[in-house]
Amino acid sequence: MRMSFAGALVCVTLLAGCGEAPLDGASLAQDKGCVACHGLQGDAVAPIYPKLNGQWEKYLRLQLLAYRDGKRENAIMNGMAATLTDDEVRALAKHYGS
Amino acid sequence: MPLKLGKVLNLRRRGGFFALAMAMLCIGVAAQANNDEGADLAFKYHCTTCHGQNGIASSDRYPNLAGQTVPYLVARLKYFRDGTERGNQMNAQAAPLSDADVEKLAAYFNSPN
Repeated sequence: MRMSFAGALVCVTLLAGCGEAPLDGASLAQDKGCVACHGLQGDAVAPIYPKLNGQWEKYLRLQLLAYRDGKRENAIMNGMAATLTDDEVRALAKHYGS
Repeated sequence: MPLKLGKVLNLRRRGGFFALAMAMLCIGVAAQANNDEGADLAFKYHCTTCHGQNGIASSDRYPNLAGQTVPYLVARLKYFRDGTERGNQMNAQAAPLSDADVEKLAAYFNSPN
């Protein structure tokens, strides 16, 4: 009984590892440094930065892609977005957007 | 005599309230006038076509402006007006705006009616 329980645990762990874990937008926002200016919930830390809460999810996704791909020039955002994958962009837009 | 003094004090107090009420009314009226002017400019310069009359954009391809801070909106409009970001659609929109227009538009979209 004990063995089968341990076996089940191993199986569950393996399965969890196999599936694509959905990206957590909140931790991504921290890891990628978004929070430094835009805050964790999209309330900008200074009045000179845009609030992201209440912004369209699609708008945020399109802007991140445009900054990443150099379609929009911005001294700060081009660098911030440079390393983001499509999935990360989607997760961040979902986290901040509505 | 004490009664008179009391009356004077009372009058003063009322006068204070009256002055305060008038001041608040004036500020309120001025703010309203400013916001009306901002609304007119937002229409005149076609801001509302994309960003909406209430700062909620007409499409989710355009940014909502409602609630953005005045300093941010002022900075962005001047940034576009100066052509800092090449190829941005907003550059041409911001080109005809005076500094006063920019201030009024920023105040309007910060808290649209």
